[in-house]
Amino acid sequence: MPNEKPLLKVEHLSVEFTTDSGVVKAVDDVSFEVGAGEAVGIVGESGSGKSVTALTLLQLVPNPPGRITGGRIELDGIDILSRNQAQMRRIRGDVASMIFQEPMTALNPVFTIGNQMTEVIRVHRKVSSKAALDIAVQMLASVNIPTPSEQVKKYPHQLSGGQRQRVMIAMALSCDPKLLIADEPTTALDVTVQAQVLDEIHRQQTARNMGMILITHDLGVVSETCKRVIVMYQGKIVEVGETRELFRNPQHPYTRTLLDSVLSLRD
Amino acid sequence: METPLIEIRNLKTYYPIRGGFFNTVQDHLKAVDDVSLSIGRQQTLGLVGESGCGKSTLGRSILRLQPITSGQILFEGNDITHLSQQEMMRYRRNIQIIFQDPYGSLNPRMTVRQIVREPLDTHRIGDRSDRDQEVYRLLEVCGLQRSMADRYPHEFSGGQRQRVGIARALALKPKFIVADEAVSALDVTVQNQILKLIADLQQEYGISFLFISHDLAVVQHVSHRVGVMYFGKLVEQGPTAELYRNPQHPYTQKLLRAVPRIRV
Repeated sequence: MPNEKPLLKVEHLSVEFTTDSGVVKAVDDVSFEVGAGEAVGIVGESGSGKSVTALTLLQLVPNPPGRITGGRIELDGIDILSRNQAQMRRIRGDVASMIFQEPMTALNPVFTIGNQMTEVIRVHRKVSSKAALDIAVQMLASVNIPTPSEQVKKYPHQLSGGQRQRVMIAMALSCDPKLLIADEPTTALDVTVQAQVLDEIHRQQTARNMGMILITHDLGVVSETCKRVIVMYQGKIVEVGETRELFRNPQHPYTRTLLDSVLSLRD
Repeated sequence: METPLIEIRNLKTYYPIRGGFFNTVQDHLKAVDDVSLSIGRQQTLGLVGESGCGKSTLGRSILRLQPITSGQILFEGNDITHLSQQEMMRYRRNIQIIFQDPYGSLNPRMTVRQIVREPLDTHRIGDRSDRDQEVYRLLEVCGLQRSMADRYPHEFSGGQRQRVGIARALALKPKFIVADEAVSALDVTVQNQILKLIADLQQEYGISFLFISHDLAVVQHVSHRVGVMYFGKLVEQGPTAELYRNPQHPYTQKLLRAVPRIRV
């Protein structure tokens, strides 16, 4: 596929934050690509710039204090950084959507699941509220939520953590995005629930042939979900490669430290 | 047979569920339900389980920070279950706790010196200069510098804060420490350093640990024995290597299968 245009192309992206103690370079000259239907992991420790990179892709970094100081982002042929916030609203959820770590804070507690899901659908598609609700129910069914027509009437607090994250996935996928950005989607979940939610994300990603960026600090999660992985450290990409190969034979000293530090189950 | 340092017999901690017109007790949530276990000297018992299974409540119950419903807690063979607050003071020196959140568990208005010295002040150990000397020693033991003593918690990184919490827990030379998700909030490289510190302290001072964590790999790494909790019950316990190699309970098997692994 070398001739094929990548779904996402990030070139020399830099993002700065103004803080009380000076300017911090959160993302420093970062370039990478994600192909159509490709799952790419971004790993790194807290503060390495992985979340800011993801937020910048959809212009979600609050300005101030954040500021994009350079670079280019091309997503599905669209020059993202040239768009204003009104234009971005058409792109978010439609071309690319995002899942966050904590579904309880990402969902609005005072609206029902159905209410929040139909809002997304009706922003991007010209359908009646009745039809939008039908789509929402179908989406919930597709992410294996039992009795979806009952669940749409519920409020977020009435669902378990795993169910809420499934709702987030359903909502993110409801307009058939080409790119899914998942920022620590299973970090807040228990390990058995994490396994189910990761399975669901993986299943949807392959079935829809959707590009995906999975951000996580858990190298095991990346290893099980992504073919290719990007390692970030202090705002820079220090290493990129095929997941298996990179974990087998890390080149950069930081990647080696990271891999040495991880305690994985011994047999 | 030698008396274990800590022994728990049929411990039950129930939380009342209130409701109805008079806010009467309708039912009980069995957070810890008939748990028995023992921990030997210089041993680490790992306690794993998912959120809400009762592992933290068990830890707090053993320290008598949480009123229990029934059962017995023995420290060096002495029943401490029904001691009054005052009688408990004597035992508190020997049993300490390290918390998960190094941001929330240190008083932001106290300096590191005050935080680490507070247990020494409370128990009136030595005079002022002895205590200050002891603070310096504890900081050094925990890999911190003397010069950090007069700084405030917000000036430190998560790993350094956890070291301050450990220094404080060590101040009274305890024989037993409950580490409740003590490394869960830390990045892996920092996590490793803190685990190493805990292992060194165990070697050096012969401390026993109840190491509570949701992370099965970390628990495997640090524990001599492991217990698995599920809905308030201890469903399985055994020597670490054996339990991980050959889990008996279906829940333990499910838990171990669910952990994502690095494949190379």
